[in-house]
Amino acid sequence: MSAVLKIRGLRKSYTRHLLGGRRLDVLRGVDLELERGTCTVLTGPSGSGKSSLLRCIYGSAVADDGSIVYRDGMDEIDICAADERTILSLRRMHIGLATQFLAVVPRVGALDLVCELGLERDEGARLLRTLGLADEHFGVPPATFSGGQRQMLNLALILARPRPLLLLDEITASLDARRKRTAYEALLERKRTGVTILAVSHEVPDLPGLVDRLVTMEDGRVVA
Amino acid sequence: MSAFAGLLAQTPASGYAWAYLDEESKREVRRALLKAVCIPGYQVPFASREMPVARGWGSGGLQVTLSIIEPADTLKVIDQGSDESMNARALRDLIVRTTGVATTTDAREASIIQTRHRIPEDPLHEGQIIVFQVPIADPLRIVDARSSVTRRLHAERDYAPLWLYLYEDVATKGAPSFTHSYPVQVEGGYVMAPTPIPRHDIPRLCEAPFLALYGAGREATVYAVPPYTKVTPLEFDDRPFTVERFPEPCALCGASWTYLQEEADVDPPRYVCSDVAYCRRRRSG
Amino acid sequence: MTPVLALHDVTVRYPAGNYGCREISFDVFPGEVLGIVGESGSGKSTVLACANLDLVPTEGSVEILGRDVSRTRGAERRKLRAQALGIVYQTPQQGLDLAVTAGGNIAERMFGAGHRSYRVVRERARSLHAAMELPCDRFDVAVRTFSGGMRQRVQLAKALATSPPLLLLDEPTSGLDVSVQAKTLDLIRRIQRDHGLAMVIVSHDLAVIRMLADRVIVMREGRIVERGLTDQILGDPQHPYSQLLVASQLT
Repeated sequence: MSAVLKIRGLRKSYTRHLLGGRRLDVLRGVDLELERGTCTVLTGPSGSGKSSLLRCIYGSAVADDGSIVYRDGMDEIDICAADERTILSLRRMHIGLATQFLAVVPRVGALDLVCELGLERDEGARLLRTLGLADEHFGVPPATFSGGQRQMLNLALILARPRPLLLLDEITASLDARRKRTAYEALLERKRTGVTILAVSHEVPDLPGLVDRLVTMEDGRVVA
Repeated sequence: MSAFAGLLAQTPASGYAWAYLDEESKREVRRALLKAVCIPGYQVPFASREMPVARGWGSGGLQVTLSIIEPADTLKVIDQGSDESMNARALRDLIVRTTGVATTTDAREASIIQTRHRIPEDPLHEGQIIVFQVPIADPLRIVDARSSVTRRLHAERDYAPLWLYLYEDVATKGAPSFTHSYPVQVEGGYVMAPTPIPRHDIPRLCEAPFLALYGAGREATVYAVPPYTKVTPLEFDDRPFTVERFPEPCALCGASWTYLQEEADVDPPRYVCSDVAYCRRRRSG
Repeated sequence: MTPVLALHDVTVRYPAGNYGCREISFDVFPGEVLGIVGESGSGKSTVLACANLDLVPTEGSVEILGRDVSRTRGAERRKLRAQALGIVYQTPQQGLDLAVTAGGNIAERMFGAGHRSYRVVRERARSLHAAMELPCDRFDVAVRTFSGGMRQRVQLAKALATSPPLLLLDEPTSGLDVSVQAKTLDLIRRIQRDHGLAMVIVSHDLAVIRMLADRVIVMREGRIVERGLTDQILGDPQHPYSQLLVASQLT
């Protein structure tokens, strides 16, 4: 029984100082536990706080209250209380985040981007091919990629490094059915190695064996 | 210049202080020279006096000579290697008229040699003093015109700008463009301008048996290199310093090791020793 | 691990009574990139000047590789700058001699560090020149004839000439055309990764910060108002001024 992630009483609000200090509560006390090697899909209406939750876990958003405890073997770290360097280190070795948006590095080709994360060129090429990216795109900077291609590259980037916890935010949103299946298969294969996945998605992946649990959020709380 | 010398010839020497300068002025220069000898290559400022020589024509060297000369000294004055040029004569006349010291054209016999542009070809010995006339005292002047900047560079021994200058010469022209006044480093410390002597004479400065004094009247500085001091031209490890090469030996005395001057106004043009006295002595056997 | 650069409560107060910066503290470890954002008058240039040892702090200290260097001057400062620091100025004229060739500008730093072999210095300068994607046939050409983007790249090559562990960059892409910016940023990014450099980048352009910096400090009127990871500062800024900055930019 090993919980990789334990979230307790997580609260977060955005205070829009430019709008006179208007406060928007986006997480109102979230409790969630993720078991190692499981895939959890997070659904719910827009504005329910799903993306904010992911970003709090990743450290790219600041929580107001509560705790997010990540456990690796015997070590535990509360991400809400961790300093910048600790979070950077967690990101490098433990926690990955992929969103719909691709941070564009102007002149670096797709294969180079993947290999920068530590893969040999043939491994990187294989990964890209598995995800359906044709060889002719390897040297191309992804700025000119279609939405679907970018999503697959995002997936490649997050899979390029072996990390125990993957956070995915709508990464199959603009994929056609075939590509979706490819993505799900890649994730399933990764899950089988013991990786834990938390994915925000409007639709629940239908690949058998992939999804272990469905969690619904509404209005800043987990409701189901 | 010669008009003035003529004027001097008519004036009784008794109207002047011995060696032209008053004792206070001499003391000022000597103090500066002592400091200069103690800090080889370092430019020591001094209160440069008004001299009957235009700035840039040896007023600094003249003040040095006049401050150190003694009645028993034997004086040689050369300009571009010649004792007989107008400038050399005028300077020598002034010194002789106000001191009465003996003079010579033989470098081996002189105790003080004041020079512009050359070191005499004869091997020199301990006890001799060479006074160099310096137009531009600061070797960093070509890199920056501001004294405030060059002073700091010297203080920090930061000669990177000079090395860069050398680099640029080699990279864009193939070789350092210094023909005269090639910058030299004294005992690995200060870099100094050895006055416009040709590259041929630069090696003579290293571990020399004579005392070298440099006077720059316009910049009001003196500097010095005591005997047996290491003086090396700035050179890259892999591009050694080279001296001038001449296509022929001296047309008059046949010497192939001296610094030659091209005489272009004869037909055909020829090369002759720049050290006129040395050449003449060789010819007369 | 010792930080490559550390500022402890650095305050610069001018004789007139105004402040350049107040109580600035941060550190940068090997391989880290720190961004400093703020508008003009924020004090970010003052902070960089302290890090570059151009300014002596009125209070506080600057440490490089664990040594307090706040008050070094003269030859010692020159040596330290040659060995430990590379700086890329906002305007190339500040860091380069326009009358000197590209190779010469790069070489000068090596001469300053004591190199005396023409060929070795030249070869290294040439390889840096090429690594910055500058054309070979311009290596012996005066930098005055170079475009702004090329001049910046000469600055980069020069900064790297002595392989310092720390690089300071002041608005490295300001004034450059967009396509040239991309090239320059890419180069900086690549240099940082290849050499594992610690870097401090001052920029008002959040896109530059986003691409290069791991961590950011936001400055306003001489003080740090917020600090954090780049994606947190840009995605979830907490301080009102940070929010204003982020909202104002079109990224």
